[in-house]
Amino acid sequence: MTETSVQQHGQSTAEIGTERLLGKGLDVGTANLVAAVQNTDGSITVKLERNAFLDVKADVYSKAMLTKLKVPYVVRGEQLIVLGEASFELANVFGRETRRPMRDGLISPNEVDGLPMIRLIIERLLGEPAQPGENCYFSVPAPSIDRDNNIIYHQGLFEGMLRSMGYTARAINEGHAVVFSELAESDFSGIGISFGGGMVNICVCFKTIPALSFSIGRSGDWIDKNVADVLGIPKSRATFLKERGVDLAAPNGREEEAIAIYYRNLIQYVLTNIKARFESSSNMPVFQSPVPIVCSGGTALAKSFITVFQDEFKKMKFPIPVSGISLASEPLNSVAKGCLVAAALGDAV
Amino acid sequence: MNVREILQTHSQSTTLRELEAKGRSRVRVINANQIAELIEASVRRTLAQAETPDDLRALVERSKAEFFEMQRQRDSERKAREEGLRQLEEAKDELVALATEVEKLRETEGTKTARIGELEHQLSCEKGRVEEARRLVEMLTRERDVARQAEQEARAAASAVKAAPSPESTEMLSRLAAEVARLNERMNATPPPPAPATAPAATAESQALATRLDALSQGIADRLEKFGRTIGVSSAVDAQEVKYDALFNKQDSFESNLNTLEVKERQGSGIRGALDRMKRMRLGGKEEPDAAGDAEKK
Repeated sequence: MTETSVQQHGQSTAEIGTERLLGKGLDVGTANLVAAVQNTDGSITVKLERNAFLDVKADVYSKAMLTKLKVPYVVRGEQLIVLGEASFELANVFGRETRRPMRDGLISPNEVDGLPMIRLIIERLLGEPAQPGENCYFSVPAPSIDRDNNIIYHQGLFEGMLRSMGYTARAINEGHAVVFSELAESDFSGIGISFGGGMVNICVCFKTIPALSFSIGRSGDWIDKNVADVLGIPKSRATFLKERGVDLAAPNGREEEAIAIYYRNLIQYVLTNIKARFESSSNMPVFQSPVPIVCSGGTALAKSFITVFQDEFKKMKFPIPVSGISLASEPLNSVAKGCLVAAALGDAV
Repeated sequence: MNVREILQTHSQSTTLRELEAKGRSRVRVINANQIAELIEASVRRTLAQAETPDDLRALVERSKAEFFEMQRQRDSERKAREEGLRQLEEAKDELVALATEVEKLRETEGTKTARIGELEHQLSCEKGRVEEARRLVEMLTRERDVARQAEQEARAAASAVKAAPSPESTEMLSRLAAEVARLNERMNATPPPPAPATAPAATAESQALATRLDALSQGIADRLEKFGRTIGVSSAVDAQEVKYDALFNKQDSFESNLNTLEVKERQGSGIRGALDRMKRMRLGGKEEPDAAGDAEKK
């Protein structure tokens, strides 16, 4: 390992290069994998990689070209497998679809090569543990209210993977991680929502304790699929168009119009389901004062996302008094940061 | 394209009473012909804006495609809605069936509870009878011992007075003989004690009763467990956490260039504030007023 020492609970040691504290956070997302570590100067270092890969035929020319372009790849049989963001870019160039190790927030049962590929990406992001058994908190989705999702297998799989890499692996709910990361100002009371690639995770928290967690099986991928269907383009292309930057309040052209329509529909669907779930739950906390809602995740990065969210929110009678709706300070890093908070606290979480 | 026909296909009829039930006392009404005219006028306006025949053709083709797509989506939504309603109906039926089963279980349980009470009462009576028999046997045994002792004393006194009989000793012997005769008569008149036969019978019956009670209890527990599983409530203990470590025991080695490439790193805002706040909360300290206020569970 390159980092020679670390610091924990105030015990400082010297280190070549960046000094950092023990504990790592890992956001295991359908679209992106994000790892976060805490530096001794109070900042954090984040590494992000797209959770995707693409196979191309292995020949000397391709291999040489990929090496020259510094594109990460592995050789598997007669195929070159390009990992991460580069696979997404290549897929768009060749008009192909990327292969995705995860679907709807969980490890994909349809992708046979998914597990070894996601492991390679995670190894790149996390590196080796600073000491044997270093804490690594990773995000898992909550049970879904609109589709079957076997979280036990998914969680067990990543625990096993991280253990085999030398970490003490612990799972934390994705929405809960958002609360840890973004709602310190309200004593970790409020509603954290993560708009990921595969699903939306919601957690209602009271003073760090999750009172209600659930997920909804639509999010960024659902938008991409529908936009691709109506425009007659590959899904990767729709993802590219969406991530290129769309102002949801003022879409420009037919493609952006389609994206904005599905964004609004997604937000409506999510809010309606959140409201219904809150109203049907018997163990909801009764907040005496209004609480904040914070939105995070890559899907929430679209321009005017919060404006549209607020528009749709105003149209309904929400069962919980809400003090404000805001976007996470770093939407893409939010879950990983929350996992890192949990890891830094250690077993006390 | 027949707009009236499509409206007919994609609309549903309802009654004023049903609308009232949904809280709608007033509705706006539009004639199907008017809708058709509006659509036609709109289409004509749009077509008029096309500059060339190609534009016009493309516009028509696109409109057709979009219309059929919308129609397809609406059909699929309607099917999904119908499927949802069907599932809801099925769920309702299942709920009714479950409620009936609960009621039956309650009734069965009531009957069984009454039977248990009856059997317990019988057991208690049998126990009383066994105890009474035991007391009787003990009393008779004591009386027989006394009689035997008196007989022995009488014989000893008779042999002692043979040598010189006196009127006092003759009288004493007569009294003793009378006493012995009385005791013997009483013992012979008493029916054989039932205890030795009743006690084992009572024990066997109580064992049978206990077995039946156990079976009954197990049956009720099994049925409740089975019922509980159907509604997602079970007393079953969770299995141990499944370990998937074996999947990663054997590491595939790939030829790759990953070791030569670094992942891009970015600096993010710190988490120290969140950590400090959380630690303070855990210690019970608070420096700022609570934004969320106190909460209580419903």
